[in-house]
Amino acid sequence: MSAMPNYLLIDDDDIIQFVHKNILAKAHPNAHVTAVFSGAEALAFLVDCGDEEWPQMVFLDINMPMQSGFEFLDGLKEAHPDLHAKLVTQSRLFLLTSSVNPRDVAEAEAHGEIERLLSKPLTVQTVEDLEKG
Amino acid sequence: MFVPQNLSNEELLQAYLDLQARVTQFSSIEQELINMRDTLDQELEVYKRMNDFHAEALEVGDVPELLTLTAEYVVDLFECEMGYARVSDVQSNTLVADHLEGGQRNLADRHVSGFRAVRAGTDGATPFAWHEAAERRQPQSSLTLTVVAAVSEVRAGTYTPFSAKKAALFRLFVESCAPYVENIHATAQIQHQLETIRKSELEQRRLSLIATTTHSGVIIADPHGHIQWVNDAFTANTGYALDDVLGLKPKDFLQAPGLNDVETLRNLSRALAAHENVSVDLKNLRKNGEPFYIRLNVTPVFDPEQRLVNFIGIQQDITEGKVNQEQLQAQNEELTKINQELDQFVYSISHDLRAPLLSIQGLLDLIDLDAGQEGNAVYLKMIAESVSRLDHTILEILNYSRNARLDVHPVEFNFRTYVNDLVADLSNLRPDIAVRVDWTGEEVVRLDEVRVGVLLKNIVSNALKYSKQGQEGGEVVLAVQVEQDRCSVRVSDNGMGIGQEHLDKVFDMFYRATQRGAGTGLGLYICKEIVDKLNGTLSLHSTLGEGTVVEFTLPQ
Repeated sequence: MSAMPNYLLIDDDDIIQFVHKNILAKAHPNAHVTAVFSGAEALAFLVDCGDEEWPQMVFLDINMPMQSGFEFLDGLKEAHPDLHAKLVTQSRLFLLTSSVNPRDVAEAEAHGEIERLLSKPLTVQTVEDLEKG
Repeated sequence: MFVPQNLSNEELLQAYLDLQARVTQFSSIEQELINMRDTLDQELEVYKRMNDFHAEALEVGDVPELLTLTAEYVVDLFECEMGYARVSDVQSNTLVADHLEGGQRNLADRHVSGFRAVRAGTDGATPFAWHEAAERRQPQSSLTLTVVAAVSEVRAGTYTPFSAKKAALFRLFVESCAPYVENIHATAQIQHQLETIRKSELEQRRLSLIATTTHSGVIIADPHGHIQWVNDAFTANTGYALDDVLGLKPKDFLQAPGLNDVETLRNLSRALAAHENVSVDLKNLRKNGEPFYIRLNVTPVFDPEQRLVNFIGIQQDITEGKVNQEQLQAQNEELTKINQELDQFVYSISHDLRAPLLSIQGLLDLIDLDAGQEGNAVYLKMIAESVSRLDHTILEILNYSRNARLDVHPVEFNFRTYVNDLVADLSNLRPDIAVRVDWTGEEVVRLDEVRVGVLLKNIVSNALKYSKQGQEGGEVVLAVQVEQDRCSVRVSDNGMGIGQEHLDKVFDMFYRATQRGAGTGLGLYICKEIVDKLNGTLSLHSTLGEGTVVEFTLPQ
């Protein structure tokens, strides 16, 4: 992990967003965390994102009102295959969920680009474990 | 010729007279001879004509025709004006047949009865007197042939009665005629009996009995499918009487486009074309347009030469069952939909309930990380515990709902890894208690992973949770045994145990054996529900103060 890692948080819930932002900061004080509230915002960010700011880790919420986490990934793959490819090769992608819906688990497994499904809230311990590999 | 000489005149006269007398005698003899020859000729002619009669009689097929022939020959052979012939049965005293119609028959009857000359009838027929009659009854038969030769009354006076010879011939004729009558009559009777037997064959009797009394609609159709007969039940069921549908094909009036799926109708046509038995469920229309359902069985009927004679269709009204079935199906679909909606609702609720909780939990983590003051730490810990209890409850409700609603979904997975991960995860709750896993058999199992997870999590966390207070050397042992067709897990602890009085209630919903800890009273209830759903067994043995053993076995 680089000295100044970039994290991208995609979640519509502003409180959990706040919590996660702080947890990531605790786990890695040098980190640069970008928080967006929807798939559309995430796309806008990634489109303009240079290699320098490209996130090493992306935390994507499943349950968002306009576009679910899965829909965001599918839409990205179809409309912006280059960005999707870059995301797959240069970022580690984690799904965040507050539900324990087996359908979500199955769908996460069907999306090969997703590394893991993480339960909310993130903890310092979890983030440190992720960084260890 | 010798002429004597020297005869006197007297002698000559005498000779002449003698000669004349002889000539007269000769001519009278000659006349007699001529008469005899004529008579013989006539008799010969009668015999010849009788031969002709026999030849013709052999060709005759029924009794009335034979009687007509007989009557004609009587006129021809015996020189009368009318012949009459009839056959009667002396046993039943009935007329079997004669060759006359209406009034003439009455007339002839009166002639025959009593052999008496009677006056004319009033019906315009020529009045006849009897001339000669003869009867012949065949041995071993009750049939009597009566033949009458008659002349009209006006001429009766001028008619010479039959000579003895002629009367004898007449009787001979009648006698020779009788066997034909007997034969033809017997043949006709046999044929009639055969016909009767054929018609009354047992199979047909049964069929017709079934067809007329059954509650099922019966259709008999010709080989082209045109209706020849329907029974009363068919009429009652469809509203169509035989007159309405005679000659029609059932599909012409019972069917409407789109009533049945094309495949069903195609199968039916195919089977009928191949002369095979076929059974189909159809939706039909009654005469009043009301739809109804039938189960139709069609059986082709063949004659002994294997030619198709009929189709017999038996239709059973299954409307009630079908309507029920359709209602049930609709209800089932409705319920399934509601169930899915409810399930989605539960997930949404749980998500909405949990999301803020999880935020609170995260916030608490942050506060904890930042906290410098001891006092806050205690409160924070309590808040954190309350949050985790609430979360636990929601999870259990979700587990219960999921078990109740979702179908069993067995998958293959590595159970050993699964158990180890789960134990490692749960051990964090009570690092002071040693957890051991004893494994026997295969590691890979085929089970409903989600349900088994819930089951294990509940039982193992119970074992950890209900340790003895202040206990050291606390221990939980999981003994897992995987066999070909089943998998059993025994979780034993040396914790506080459960009092005897609670044992039979621990699987009840919301029942809690202790006030201690964060239980909802749902854990073991859900376990029991899950095990039932998976057709397994679940047992709990416990001694207060010594520990508890929970064991479940699941088929795989």
